[in-house]
Amino acid sequence: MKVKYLLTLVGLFIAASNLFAADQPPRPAAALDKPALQSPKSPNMAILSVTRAGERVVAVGERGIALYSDDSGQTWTQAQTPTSATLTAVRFANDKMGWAIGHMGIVLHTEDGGGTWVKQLDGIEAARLSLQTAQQSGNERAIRDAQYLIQDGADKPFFDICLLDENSLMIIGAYNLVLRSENGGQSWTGWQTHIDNPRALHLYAMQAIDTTLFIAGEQGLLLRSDDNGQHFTQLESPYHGSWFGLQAEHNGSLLAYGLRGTAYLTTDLGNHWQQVNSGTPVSISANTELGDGRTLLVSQAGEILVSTDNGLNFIRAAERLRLPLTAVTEVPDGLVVGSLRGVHAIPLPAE
Amino acid sequence: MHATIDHQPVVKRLEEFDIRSGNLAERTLFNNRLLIVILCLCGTLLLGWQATMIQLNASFDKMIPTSHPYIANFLEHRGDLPGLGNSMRIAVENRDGSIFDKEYLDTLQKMNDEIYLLPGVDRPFMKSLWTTATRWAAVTEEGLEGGTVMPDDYDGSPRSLDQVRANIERSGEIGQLVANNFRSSVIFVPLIDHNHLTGEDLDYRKLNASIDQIIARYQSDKIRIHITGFARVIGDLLDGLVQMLGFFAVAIVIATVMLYWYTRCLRSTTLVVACSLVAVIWQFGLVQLLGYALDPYSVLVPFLVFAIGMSHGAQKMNGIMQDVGRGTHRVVAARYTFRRLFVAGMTALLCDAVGFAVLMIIDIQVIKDLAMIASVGVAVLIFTNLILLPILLSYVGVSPKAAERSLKAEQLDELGAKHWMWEFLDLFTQRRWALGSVILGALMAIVGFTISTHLQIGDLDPGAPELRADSRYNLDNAFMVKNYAASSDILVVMVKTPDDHCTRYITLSKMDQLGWQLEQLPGVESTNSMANLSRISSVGYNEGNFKWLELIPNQYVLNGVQNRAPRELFNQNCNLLSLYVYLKDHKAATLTRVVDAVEAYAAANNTGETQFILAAGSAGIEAATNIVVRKATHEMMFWVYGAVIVLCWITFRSWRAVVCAVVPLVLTSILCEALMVVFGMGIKVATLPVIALGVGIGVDYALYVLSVMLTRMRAGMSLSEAYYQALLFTGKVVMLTGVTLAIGVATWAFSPIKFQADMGILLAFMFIWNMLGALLLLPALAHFLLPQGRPEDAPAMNHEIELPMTTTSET
Repeated sequence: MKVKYLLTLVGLFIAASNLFAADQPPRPAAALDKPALQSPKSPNMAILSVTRAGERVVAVGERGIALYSDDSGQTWTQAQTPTSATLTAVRFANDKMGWAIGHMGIVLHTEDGGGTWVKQLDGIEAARLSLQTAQQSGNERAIRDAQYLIQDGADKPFFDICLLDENSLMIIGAYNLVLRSENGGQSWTGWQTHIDNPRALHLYAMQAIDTTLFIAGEQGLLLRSDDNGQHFTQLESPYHGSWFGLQAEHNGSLLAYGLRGTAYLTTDLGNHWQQVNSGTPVSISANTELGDGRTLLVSQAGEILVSTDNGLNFIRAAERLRLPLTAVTEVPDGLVVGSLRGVHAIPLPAE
Repeated sequence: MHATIDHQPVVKRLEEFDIRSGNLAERTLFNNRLLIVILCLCGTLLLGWQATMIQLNASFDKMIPTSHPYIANFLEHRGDLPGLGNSMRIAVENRDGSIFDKEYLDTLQKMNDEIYLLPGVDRPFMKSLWTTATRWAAVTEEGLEGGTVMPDDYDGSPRSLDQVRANIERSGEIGQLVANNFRSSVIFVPLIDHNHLTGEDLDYRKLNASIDQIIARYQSDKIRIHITGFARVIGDLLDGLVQMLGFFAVAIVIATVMLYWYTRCLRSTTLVVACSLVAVIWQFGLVQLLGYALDPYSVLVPFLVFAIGMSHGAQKMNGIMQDVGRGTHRVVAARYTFRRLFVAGMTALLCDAVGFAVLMIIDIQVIKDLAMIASVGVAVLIFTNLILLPILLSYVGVSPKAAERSLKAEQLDELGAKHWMWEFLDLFTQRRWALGSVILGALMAIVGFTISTHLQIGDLDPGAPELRADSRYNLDNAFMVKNYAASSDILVVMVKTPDDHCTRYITLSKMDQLGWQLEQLPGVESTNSMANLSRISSVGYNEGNFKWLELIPNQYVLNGVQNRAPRELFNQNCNLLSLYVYLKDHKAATLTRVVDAVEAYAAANNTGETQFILAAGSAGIEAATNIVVRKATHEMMFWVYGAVIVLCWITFRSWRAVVCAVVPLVLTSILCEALMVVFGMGIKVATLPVIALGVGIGVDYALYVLSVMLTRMRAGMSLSEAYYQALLFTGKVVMLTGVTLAIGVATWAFSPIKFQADMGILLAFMFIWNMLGALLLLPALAHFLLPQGRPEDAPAMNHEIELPMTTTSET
């Protein structure tokens, strides 16, 4: 017997919120400002993003864990971070300057290649900045939404970082939370009013192709900006499930992927999409492009999906990890993958 | 000549003996011998009849320290903590394939249904693939789906089996109910120890018999069944009882044969053994009358009572034999012996009784019961072996040949042809050897103490340490450890909140933090709680996007999780949460680490509303037990030694004599602890009593030797002479019983029950060391402590001991 929980749950959420939550003032989330515990188990915990900082590999994950490895993922060192919130994404502008973002609106910055991290922003401040922006816009609905943000406290996660140039970057997150900085994160501006997202859907991934910017999100949401992020307008989406990621191919095409192995490809900057056989029925969680030009997707069931034709066709690699994969990046002698059970160095899939 | 030694003249004919001599007790008892014998016979018949009805069982609740705060917390919330106390895990293995097999699943269903109906099973909380509580859940575009793991339309078809496989993979039960290799699955059976509705205790023997029947019916070349849990350990111990009794019998036979070899007198040997057995019968009868039952840990006690009885009985018999050998009439000989040894024997038995009784301060019911049973047994010995035995001996006497033999040996000794053994032992009263003995003793004490500081509390081995590593139970346990992720060593931290507040962010976040901190500790494998579920649930609520893995600080979201949470994690009123800590083992060090960390966290984070409290789960209960046992170890030793010192003081009225008697015991206690370290035994509910009993047994030897020595020294003999006399009179019997009993219990090392083997080794060691202490260290200490050759300075014996000596001189 199948039980459909969703409607029931929504109902219960509302009921429960009336019962319990009314008397609950917003509290600072306990994990937000608690420095991450230094743990020998940290390389085995849930890792949600891995990236390169020059020769170094940097990985972030639950409980504020940030790790770095100077030997292609063989051994890991845990960095000091000022938060225990889950970190969802990490990006580097060069081999020293990087940002990590996560739950409770946390934004961390490093200037030494991921060895030490300092807080640049948190959810409380992000809500305040969003209200500021809304008030400047004069849009009443935006003001009301921003006021809710402040009431909720720091409970919303950021999901992706997009580096526009050396100093300017955007971060996106749940409930249309978007901020932009023009000075490497020293100060931020609420950017939600620049996004055409009236239902405040979650924004999961952001990708630049030259000067065109794309955002993908919940319930098939696809957005594009042709003016360096000043205006994001909705594209006609081929799919109504959620997108989890975007992959820019070196030939200028863009792959969007997500729930239950869904993947679509566009070769004309999002005007037309064609469905791609991803080779898996399982949700796809991360992507990378290899130095040899191949495109790689990894699934929540540990599959590695390889395309040699810029995302038109994917074949499941013989190598399969029995791990729920979350992240992947190439290193000189293989891959480093993140999973719910730790970060692992594995060989490249055979050609 | 003999008269001058004992102030007890040889009385060849009974008519020449003044029956008004002796103290009141002696006159009362010996002038009414027949009445006493008849009373004892009636008592034996009555108690023997009672003894046949004695119960053999065990109780989970009795093994735990019910008033320790951890256990009090557990018991208070027991109704909200399904399956966290006493439970059994029955793994059903398919040796010919996987669990996705029609025949296998059919068998599992039949077993499930049969076990469900067994008495004592806490049915609502029983879990297996076939129970409705075992559910799966999954995320799709349309939301969350869920259902029972066994599909409603299950029909054994390949399609159905595929469905089962898919459901199991989405159930989160892999490693819990289902083995990692899919070749076995578990029927989890929580048990109710004491049914409050019917007032009945769970009968573990019946339960195990029923389980064995189920095994017999379903186990085949294809299906293999593995069972772990307290109930199974007890079952195996109870099953092993027959073998344990066999080893008791062997020890009794060895003791009897040795005694006969020494005395060459069949009738008196028989009487000594018979009286010791009568004591055991009385003990059983009284235990039954008082409403106690024997359990696998207290079955040792009757044997100890027998052993102590043998030691005292042999002393009586030896005394009578010596007197009869000198020509005294058997009745008079019995009375003389009674006069000489009753007080020493009585003191020794009182020491034993007190030694056992102080175990009652330990707040664990099973030890209290054991203390009671043991005290009763020892008290009984006062009647059977100090009173009934001499009276019976006064009727049957000893074989003339044996008496003659005893006299010959004595005469040889007195002619100056000292036996080489006595010559050797006498050396220890001389300065050089005495000094050597004391220094050696001190060295051993220091080394022993150093080793004994490594003594651990609790279990040191995986599985059931009471059973051998290759026993069926421990093999089953190893199977579980190998095939299932979640260990059976679970410690549960309870979190109390106000009603309906169990999903509060602040509480869950503290719980989450504690769980993560505990996972850092060595020995902690993983943790699980409502906080963990809430973390992963936010992934589920967001289409399985892993980036949502976090305890979202949003009360709406958290409240929603409750609707899907399994009942193990929170209770009906939403005011109690359980944090499960899965441990690698139940070693004391692991438990202490976890408990200390939780205590520290609770101290820093408990508020009036939200409180972290310990402890439930097998490991939680064990942690509390360890704490109680650790505390009790010190207290128990304090009280046992306190009692022994006081009783020795009352007997000897000399602190120097007390030191002579007690120091060898202390040495034995220290070495016993060191031996436990060497053999890898920990102090636990099962071994704790033996440590106390060792002191009780040891004091017998010291008292018998010292009492004779002091009397002789008081009479003006030198230490050497007095010790020699003591050796002849009581010392050789000390040696005999020490060696005899040690050999007897040493055979237990071959017992299939490891608990008995361990106890055998410990007891054999203590019998031997107490004997050596009394024979080698005691005279050496006496050399330095007891004033010699100045009768007026010699410590006076307690008046009661003096009395029989002086009254005899009037006759």
